[in-house]
Amino acid sequence: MIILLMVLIFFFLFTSTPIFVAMGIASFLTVIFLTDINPMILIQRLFGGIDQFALMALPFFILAANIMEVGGLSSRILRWSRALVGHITGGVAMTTQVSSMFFGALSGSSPATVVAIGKIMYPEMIRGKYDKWFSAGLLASAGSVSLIIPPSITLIIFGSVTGVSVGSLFIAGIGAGIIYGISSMIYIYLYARKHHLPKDPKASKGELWGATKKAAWALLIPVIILGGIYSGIFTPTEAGGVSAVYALIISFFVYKEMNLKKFYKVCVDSAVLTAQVLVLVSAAQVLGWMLTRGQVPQAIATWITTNVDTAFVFLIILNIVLLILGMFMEGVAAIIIVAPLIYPTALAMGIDPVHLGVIMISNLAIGMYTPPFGINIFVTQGITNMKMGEMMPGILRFFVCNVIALIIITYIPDASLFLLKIIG
Amino acid sequence: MRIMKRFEEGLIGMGIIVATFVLFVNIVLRYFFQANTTWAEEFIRYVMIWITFIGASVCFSRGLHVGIDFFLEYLSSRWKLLFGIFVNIVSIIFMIFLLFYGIELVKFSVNSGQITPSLQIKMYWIYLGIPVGATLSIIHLLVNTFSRIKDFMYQSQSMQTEENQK
Repeated sequence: MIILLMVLIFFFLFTSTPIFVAMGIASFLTVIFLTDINPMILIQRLFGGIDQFALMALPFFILAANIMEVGGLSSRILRWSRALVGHITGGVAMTTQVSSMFFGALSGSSPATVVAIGKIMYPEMIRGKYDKWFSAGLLASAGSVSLIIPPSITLIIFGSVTGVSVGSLFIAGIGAGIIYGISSMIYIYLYARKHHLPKDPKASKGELWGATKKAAWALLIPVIILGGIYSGIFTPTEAGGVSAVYALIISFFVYKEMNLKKFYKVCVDSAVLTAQVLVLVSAAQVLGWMLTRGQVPQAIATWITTNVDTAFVFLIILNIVLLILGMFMEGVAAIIIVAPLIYPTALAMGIDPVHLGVIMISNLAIGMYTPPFGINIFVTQGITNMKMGEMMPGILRFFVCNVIALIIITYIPDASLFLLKIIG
Repeated sequence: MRIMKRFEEGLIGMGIIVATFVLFVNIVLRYFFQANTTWAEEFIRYVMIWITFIGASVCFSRGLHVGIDFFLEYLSSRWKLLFGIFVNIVSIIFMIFLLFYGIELVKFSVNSGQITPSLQIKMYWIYLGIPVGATLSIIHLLVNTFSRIKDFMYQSQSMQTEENQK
């Protein structure tokens, strides 16, 4: 049963069928032809898969991100990042990386980050005489950090699938995201020093203060989100709603870049994007249910317990599997299918559930920009008009940096968990 | 077609506004007035489910569904069109499954008289989103398939005339 299911899925995927259709139709065909289960159950799974309040954080954060983009909050973040790091060696590239991290702290969607930052920063980097492959590689990889930095859609989904506190996952995501970002920045620094690339003049205290003041309203958002969730004023889902309303008020009345017509378009686009992600979630839930019925989790658990005896080895295998999976699969779908499969085993190995979440998400973040199927690559291609092959040298170098960060995140749990311990 | 698109977009756009509003009001009520509404959460969930299935149809019409089109890059435009038609047919079949078994689920729920825990409305109103979304998707997919077939015919024709000219 499982074999037919897998063969069908891969067949459909390779013909470029939308992923959710591929997962769905493969499940339906398998159930209809191989079992006597009533296929209506699949519809119930499809429905039950998205009938969860924790998942509803997703549409609200998508809406918030879109409002910020249109309402001028993201452009102010960008200017502020530039005033902050523009004068360091490799300033323009540093700005791209840092603003991607902050933008990730607002939105949580990786391709959206690539588009928002890339449209402005890519021409700047080319003007600054950065190699094209370097700039494209940087764009694609820098966007992926928003998967790790809260509020991250993938972290929310990991939380809703496993029952781990989304608040704790968010806090741990900060540490991991910073390590991930710094690993790229070290390479940017070395690259820029070697090629003697120009940097901005150091921003004066007054300029920096001015940029900070302009961006302050936007910079408050992560504080509201994390503070609100952590102090128990609202749930992660409600935090999404609050940040959407907040961003709306700021963009209407403070920055005055929003009007009703734009707002309507933002709402429609957000709803469409919501649907795009949630159908994937629900189809992945159906597939997950099929795998459970086929006893796949048990098979994996038995294999691990007989062949792997330490958490150290387990984590190596987990990372390799996830990196490969990330190349072929979209983050959201991968989490829904893999997290329930390995969660109990990982816990039995003594791995902290929050740490496990951060490790999984870091892997899938890398998967966002690894060929052949990394979405960020396609988005970057759209911005830069480059072929995938031309981007590869850049992608590869940032891949190495981020894998080093991944190793640190995996084997030094405190690197991501220390903030949690401080807060208690 | 235009009207249908407008209608779908209006519905889901308004849906997300209303959901955000309800969510926000609920927080304010709870935090400042200690009044807790249990129905808000349920309401938001069901609105989002409708948005998902109607939105899926909009995604078909805008060509937004995430797929792996890496291998298609290496094909000629003729083969790309053929693959596109094939994918549309697969999607239509899937949507027919959703429509058919979705209606089964609605019927099942009508017969069992299920109601939602706090809003106390009939559960089939929520399940109904699945067959409705599937129907809208099928319409979009059919329109798209016909235009692709037309393109394909046109291409074959122009290729033939080119050969004739030679």
